[in-house]
Amino acid sequence: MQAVQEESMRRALDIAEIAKQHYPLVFRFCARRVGVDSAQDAAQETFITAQRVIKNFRGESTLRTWLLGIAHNECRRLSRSRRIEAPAIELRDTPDDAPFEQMIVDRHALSEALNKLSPEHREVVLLHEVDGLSYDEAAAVIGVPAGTVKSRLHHAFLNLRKSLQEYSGGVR
Amino acid sequence: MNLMEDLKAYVDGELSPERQSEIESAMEQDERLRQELEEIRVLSRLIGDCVVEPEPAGLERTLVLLEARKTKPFLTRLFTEPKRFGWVYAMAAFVLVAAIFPNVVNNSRADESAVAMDTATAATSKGVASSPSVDRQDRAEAPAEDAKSVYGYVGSSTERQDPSLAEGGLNGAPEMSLKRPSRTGFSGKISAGASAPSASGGVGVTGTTPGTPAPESNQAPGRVKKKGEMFRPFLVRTSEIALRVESVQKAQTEAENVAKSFGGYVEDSSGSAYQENAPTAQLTLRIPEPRFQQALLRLRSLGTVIASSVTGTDVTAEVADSEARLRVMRAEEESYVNMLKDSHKVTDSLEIKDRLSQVRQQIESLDAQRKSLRNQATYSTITLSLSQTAEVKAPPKVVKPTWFDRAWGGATERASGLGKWLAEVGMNLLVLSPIWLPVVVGLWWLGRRGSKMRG
Repeated sequence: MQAVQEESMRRALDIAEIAKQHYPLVFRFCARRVGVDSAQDAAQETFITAQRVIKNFRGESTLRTWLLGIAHNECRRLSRSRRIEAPAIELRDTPDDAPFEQMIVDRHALSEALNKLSPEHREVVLLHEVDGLSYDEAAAVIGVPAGTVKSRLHHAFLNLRKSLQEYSGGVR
Repeated sequence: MNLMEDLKAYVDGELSPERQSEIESAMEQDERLRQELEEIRVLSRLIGDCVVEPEPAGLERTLVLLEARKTKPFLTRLFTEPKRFGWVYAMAAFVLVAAIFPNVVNNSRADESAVAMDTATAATSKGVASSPSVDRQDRAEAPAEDAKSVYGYVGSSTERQDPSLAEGGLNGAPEMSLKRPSRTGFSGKISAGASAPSASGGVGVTGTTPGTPAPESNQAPGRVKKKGEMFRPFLVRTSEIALRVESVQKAQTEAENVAKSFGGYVEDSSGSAYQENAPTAQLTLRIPEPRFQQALLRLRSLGTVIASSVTGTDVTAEVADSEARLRVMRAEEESYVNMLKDSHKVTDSLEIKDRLSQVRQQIESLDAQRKSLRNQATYSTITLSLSQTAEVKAPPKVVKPTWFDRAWGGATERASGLGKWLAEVGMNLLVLSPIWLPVVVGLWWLGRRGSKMRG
């Protein structure tokens, strides 16, 4: 029984299996921070680092959070070494059958509002709204308390709404 | 707490049940709050749904890389991924430089010292670039031969041998230096005389008696030759020999016999028996110049040579000068004598006599000087020091270190040096931290602030 458990643990911690399972998540995470061109390198470095330090993984956080934490550091390192600016957040075009609420918000205005956010606010918005991490997970990834994530999200949304209102006021 | 601040967390379901209930009850009474909540919810959903999801690429490459790295040991990865392990190369280069640099510096210093020593030795040899050691006697003899070919003889030679090594049966490392005489005073062609045979015991004095007549020659030195004949220089030669002998008394007697057999004599002799086991004696022998070299060899064979030196001073110029002046003075004397014969006045006669007297005094002085020089050149001086000491123990045999010992010693020394250097750097950084730390922190803070402002 114990052997079976060990085997399942070994397979669970097999880096190739982890890469197959989490590569898309990590790649997208990196693409939104260093751009699509450098995302491959960042994702690759993330898994290489993970392979090296996986023996230290104690399971105190989820594997996803742990990987995104490594990816976060790799993206910062790559940004510094290659002097990469954070890429603009791109939005999809609204499909014809989109819900009404999507139709009423101008895509261009939203994109501009998102790109006007400070790096800290932008980070928490991406982690929570796009990557779907909880406050605690986002806090673990960027290494700040959960209360900070909550506060930053609140202010980020305030800024977003303010920008959108200014835009709509300006258009009218 | 402000309810507005928790609206986003309420939408995300991140609030405690109590706080959630508070917000719900507040919303039932506040229409504006409900509107806010709806706006946040719409915006949140919109962002989540509309942000472009890039298509992942490079999974295969990553998997291949991970698989390759899994099987490779560290050393293999070190060479196959130089970019990744650049820090290892940098450290290795640093250690290498730290290890080699002091060695190179030491070697260059050693080379400089060796050059300085050679230069010093060459300087003492005054002209002949001789090798300082007798174990390189061949090299030392070469310049001596060279000197002979150019100047006719070796002016002086010195030889010194460590007595302890000599007694220990070792050939030792005796030193030898040669001096080249000045050409001043040589007006004619300089002849090269017969070269002396090499000394016994493997340590030969290369100072020879060229330029002086061979024993079988009956030509007097310094005699002015007729046209076409060779001019022989006057040499005042002295030699000092220190010998270690089995019996000082016996050696002293033999030395006196040697002097007599070569037609010389003992000028001075003194002995000391202050220590029974180590009596000493000193003799000053005068040997006819043509037989100087032979006598020297005989005396050297009486015991073990500890130190030996031969110096030669060329007095040809002085002799020639005094003879020339003598000729002039004699001619002057003759003219004064003729003038005296022809003089009729008393005052003239007195004055001429006075002049004649002065000239004759000068002639006497010059003649005495010439005779003295000739005498010195005729008989060479050999100062012989004899000693008899208790057996000297041979020095302990020096074990020559192997290459491994040298390499190990060098490596540990360098590692120790590097460690000390790193420790010094660390201490300096620590002690000076009140100076540099605020600057570094300030620069870091400014950089961070600048990047925030740019962001």
